[in-house]
Amino acid sequence: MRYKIIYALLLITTSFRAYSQEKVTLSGTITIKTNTETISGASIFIPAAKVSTVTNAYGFYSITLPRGEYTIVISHVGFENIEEHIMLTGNTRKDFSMLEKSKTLDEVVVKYNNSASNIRKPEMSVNKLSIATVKKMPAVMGEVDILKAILQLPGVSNAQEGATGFNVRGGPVDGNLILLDEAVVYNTSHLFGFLSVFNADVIKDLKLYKGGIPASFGGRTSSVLDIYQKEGNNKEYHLTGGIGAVSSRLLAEGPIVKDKGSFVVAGRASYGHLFLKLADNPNAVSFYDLNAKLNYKINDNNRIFLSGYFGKDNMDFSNFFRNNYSNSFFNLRWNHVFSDKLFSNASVIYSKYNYGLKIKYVGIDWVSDIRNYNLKYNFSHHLSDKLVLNYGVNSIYYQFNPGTIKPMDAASPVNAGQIEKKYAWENALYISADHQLTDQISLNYGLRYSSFLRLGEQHVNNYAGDQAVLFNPELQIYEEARPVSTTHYDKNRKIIDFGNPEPRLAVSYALNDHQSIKASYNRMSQYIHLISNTASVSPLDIWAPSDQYLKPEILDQVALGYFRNFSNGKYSLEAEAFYKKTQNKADYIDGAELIAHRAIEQVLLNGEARAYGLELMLKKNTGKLTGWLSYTLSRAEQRTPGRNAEEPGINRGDWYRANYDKTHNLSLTAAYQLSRKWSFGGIFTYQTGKAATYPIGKYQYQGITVANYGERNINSLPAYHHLDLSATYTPKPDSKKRWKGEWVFSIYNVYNRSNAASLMFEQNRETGLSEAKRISIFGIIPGVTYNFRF
Amino acid sequence: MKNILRYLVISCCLFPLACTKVVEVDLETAEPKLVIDASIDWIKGTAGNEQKIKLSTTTGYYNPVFPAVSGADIVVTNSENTVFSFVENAGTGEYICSNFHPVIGETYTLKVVLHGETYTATETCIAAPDIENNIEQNNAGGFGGDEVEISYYYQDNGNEENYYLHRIVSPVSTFPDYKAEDDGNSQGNLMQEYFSDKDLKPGDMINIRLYGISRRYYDYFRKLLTASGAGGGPFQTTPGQVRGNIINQTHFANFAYGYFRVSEVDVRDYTVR
Repeated sequence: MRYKIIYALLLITTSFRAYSQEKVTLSGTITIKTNTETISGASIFIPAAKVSTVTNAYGFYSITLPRGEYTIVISHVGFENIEEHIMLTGNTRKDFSMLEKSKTLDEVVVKYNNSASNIRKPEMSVNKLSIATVKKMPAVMGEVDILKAILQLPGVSNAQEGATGFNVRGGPVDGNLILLDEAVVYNTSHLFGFLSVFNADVIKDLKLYKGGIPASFGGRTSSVLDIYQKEGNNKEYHLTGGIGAVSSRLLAEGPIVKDKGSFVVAGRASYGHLFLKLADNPNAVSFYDLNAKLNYKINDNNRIFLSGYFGKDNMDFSNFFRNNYSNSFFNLRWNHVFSDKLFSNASVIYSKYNYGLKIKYVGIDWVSDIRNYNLKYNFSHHLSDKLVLNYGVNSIYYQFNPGTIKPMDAASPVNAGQIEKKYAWENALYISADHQLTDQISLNYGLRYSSFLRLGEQHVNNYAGDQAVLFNPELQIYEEARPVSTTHYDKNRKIIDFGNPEPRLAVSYALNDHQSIKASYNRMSQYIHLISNTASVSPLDIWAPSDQYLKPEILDQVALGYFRNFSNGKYSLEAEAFYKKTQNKADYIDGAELIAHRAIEQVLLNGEARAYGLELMLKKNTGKLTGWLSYTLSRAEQRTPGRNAEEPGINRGDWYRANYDKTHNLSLTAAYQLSRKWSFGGIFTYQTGKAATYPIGKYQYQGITVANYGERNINSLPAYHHLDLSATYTPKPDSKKRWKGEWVFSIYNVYNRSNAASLMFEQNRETGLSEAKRISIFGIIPGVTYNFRF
Repeated sequence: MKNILRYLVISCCLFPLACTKVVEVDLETAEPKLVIDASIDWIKGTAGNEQKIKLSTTTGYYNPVFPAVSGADIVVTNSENTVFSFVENAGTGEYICSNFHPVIGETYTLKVVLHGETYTATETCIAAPDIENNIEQNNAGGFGGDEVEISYYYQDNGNEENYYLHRIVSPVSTFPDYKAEDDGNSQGNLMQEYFSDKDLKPGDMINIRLYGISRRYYDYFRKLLTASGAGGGPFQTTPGQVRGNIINQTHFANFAYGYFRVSEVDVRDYTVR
C-alpha cells in the first residue's frame, strides 16, 4: 500500500516535471513600428498548438508551449498581421513591431480597436476605443473628447449636455474609477463639462469596464475607465498639434536615448474670452492642461515610466464670482520582468484635486481639496498556457480638506475657519486567475480584500442615540441633530475601520468559433463618496470618506451576455443583461445644504440603489463604412426607507428613479472613408429625457408663488436627440514631406434641436405668472479644427 | 453660504450657447389643500397690534387665481393664555387682529378651526437687528459689473445662533425677492447684504425688510425658495413638498401648507440715485 502511494506520488511528480520540462516560454513586447508605442491587447496566436494570448497594458506577452517549430500569428485590428516561423528550443525572448494598415482604397480600415468581439475570453461588459476612432467622431465645436465618445457605448449616459462625468449602467458619477496612467482623476471636466480633461493627442487607448471588473481594480462601485497615455516615439522627434475653435494644443515627442527612452509633453489652452458674448467684458472662463511622460528602458527586464498631469480651470466674473479647480497627478512606475513568466509593475502615485471659490455677495473665499498617495504593486504570472495569475497590493492614503474658509476682503463678514480635515487609509490585496478550463470554457475568477481605515487627528461628533439626523414626527420632517459631545482622536489613531471581501467571477462558454455565452458576477466596495444633492454633478461637490454614518457602498452585479461574430468578423453582435444592487446608498434630507457643511452626517439618510437593463451593440468592423449601433433599455432607482415604522424616509420609502435615469438610450455611430482625402463621421443619439419632478400645483405664501411638487422623479424631461456630422479632409495624403495636415469640419446638433437640460418652474418677474422655462445648452454648432503633425 | 449654487447656475447659463425658453408643460393637479400664511410681523417702532393671517388653497400650476378660504375661526394664544382673535374681512380669506401684543421671546400658539378640523402651530417671537443707516449704492455692481447694486449692513449677535430673512420689494419685480441667511460663518460680525438688478434705475424705490427668524423657519424658507424656482437651474436640488409647522390635530395626514412665524422686522426704504 505504502509503496503504491509513493509510486503514485513519484509518477505524479515525474510526470509533472516531464510536463514542465517539455514546455518552453516565448515572451516579449509588441510595439507599433512607426512610432514605437507599445500595443496593449494585441493577440498572439499559435494555430498548431491552438493557444493564444494577448499583450498586457505595457505591451508584454508571455506564452508557454511544448518545444517545437511553430508559425506564430500576431494580429491587432488596424495593423498588418505578422506571421513568423519560429523554432522554439528553449525559453525565448522575442519582440515584434507591427505596421499600421495603409489606407488604400481596396482595404480601408478605420482603426476600430474594439472590432470583432472576443469570443473565447471571459472578458465581458468591456468596451475599448482606440483614439483613432475617437478622433473620427464629430464633436462639439470640433473639440475631440474621449468622454463624449464613450457616451456612444451601450450602458453609458450622462445627465445632460454639459454635465460633469458620466453614468454607467445606472451607477452614479462618483462610482466611476477613472485612471489616467493608473492615477485617479477626481474631476474629469473642463469648463463645467464642456470638455474632458483628457487631451486626445496624448491618449493611447482606453478601456471601459462596466461589469465583470477584474480583482485588480477596486474602490468604486460602478465602472472603471482605464486610460493610458502615449509613451512617445523613441526613434524620431515629432510635433503634433491642432488649432480648434475653443482651444489649441501641441504635443512634442521624441527619444531621450534612441531606442531606449522617450518623452511626450503635451499642452492645451483655451482662448480666455471666447465664452462670453461681450468681448469688452473683463469676465473670463478658461482652462489649460499639461501632460508629460518619460519612459526609459534600462534593459530587457526593466523599464521606468514617469508621468504627470496638471490641469486648471478658471472662471472669473471680476467683482462677483471667482472659481477655479484643478487636477494634478504625478506617477512613477517600474516594469520589471522577473522571468519570462513573471511580469511586475510597481507604481507610486500622488494625485490631488482642489476647488476654490470666491463669492463677493457672501464675502467668502473657500478652498477644498482631496489628495492621495497611492502605492501599487502588481504581478502577472503566466503559470501555463491555460492559467495566468494576476495578484498584487494597493495602498492609498487620503487627506480630505472639506473647506478652508477665509474672508474675501476686509469688509467681508465671514470669519476665517477650517472645517476639520479627514484622513483615511485604503488597502487592498487581490488575486485573480485567467483560466482556460477546456476548449469551450474560459474563466476569470478572483478575490479582492479591501479595507478602509479612518484615522485621526479628528474631533468626531457624538449624537444622542447615535442619530445625527432627527425626525420630527409632528411636522413629518427630518432635521439636523446637534452633537452632544465630541471625541478627540490623536493623529493616526484609528477612528473606525471597514473591511470587505470582493469576489469576482467571469465565465465564457464558446458555442463555436463565432458565438459565445458569457456570465459575470462582481462585488465592489466604495469608501469615498462625492457629496452632491443636485440634479447633476457640479464641480462644487466635494469628496468625503466613509465613517460611522456614511457607510461604505457595496455593490453586487450580475451580467449575462451573448456574443457573436458574423461574416468572418465583418459584423459582430454583443447583447448583455445586467442587474446591480448597491447597499448603503446615501441620500439627503430635503433642503440639505452641503456646501461647506461642517457635519455632513446631519443631513444624510442611508438607503439602497438598484439598476437593471439590457444592452445591445451591433458593430460593422471592416470596410469603407464602419461603426456601431448601440441600444440600452434600463432603469436606475434608489430607495431611502425610514429608520423605523414612524418615519417616512424619502419619497415615503418607495423606490424612485435616479436623477440620471433614462429608459431608452440609442446611439448610431458611423465612419465612412470616401477616398484617401475625405472621410466622414456621424453620430445620432436618441434618449428618453432624464428623470424630473414636475409640480402638481402651487400656492401663494408671503407674496411669492410656491410650486408644490409631487413624487420624486416621477416625470421625464422631453426626449433628447441630436445628429452630429463631421468631415475630415487630408489635402495631401501621399505627401512625402514631414509636415502632414488635416482639416476637420464638424456640425454638432445638425437640425438644431433644443434639448432640455432642465425645466425650471418659476414666477415671471414682470407678470408674476407661473411658467416653465426650458434650459438647453447646445443648439447647432459648427466647428473647424486644423490638425498637424511634423 | 446658502446661495452659492444659485450663483453657479447663473454663471453656467452664461455659456453663450445655452438658452432658455418658456415652454408649455402638461401638468397634473393634485386635490386642493389648505395653505395658512400666518406671519406675525412686528415692525420696529410700531405697537404690532395690527396683524393679518391669510387662508387659501393650492391650485393648478397655470391657474392665475389663488382661491381664498373663508369661514375659519382663528385665534393666537400667548403663554399666559391671552387670546387674540383674528376676524375675517368677509369673503377675502384675510383674517385681521387689531389688538395683538408681540413680545420678544414670548411663545405663541396658533389655532385654526375650519370645516370641523383643527390646525395648530407654535412659534417664538424672534428679535431682529437694525439695518444700519449707511446703505451704499454702486453703479458698477452685479454680475456683469454694470448693474445698480445696493448694499446694507446689520450687526449679528455674537452670543447666539441667528437666522435672518431678507425681503426686498422693488419695481424690477412684481413679487418680493427673499434671501434666508445664517451666521454660521460670520458669528458676531457686521453683516453685509446685497441687492442688484440690471433693470434698477435712478428714482426706483427699494423697500428692505429684515426679519429675525427661528432655525426651523430658516430651514423651511430655504426649501420654499427652491420650490418657488429661486434656486433653479441644472444644479438645483431635487424639490419636494415643503411642510411647515402647522399640524392638523383632527386628521393628521391632512396637513396644511404654510407656516406660523412670529418675527420682529426692521424696515428701510432706499431710493436709487
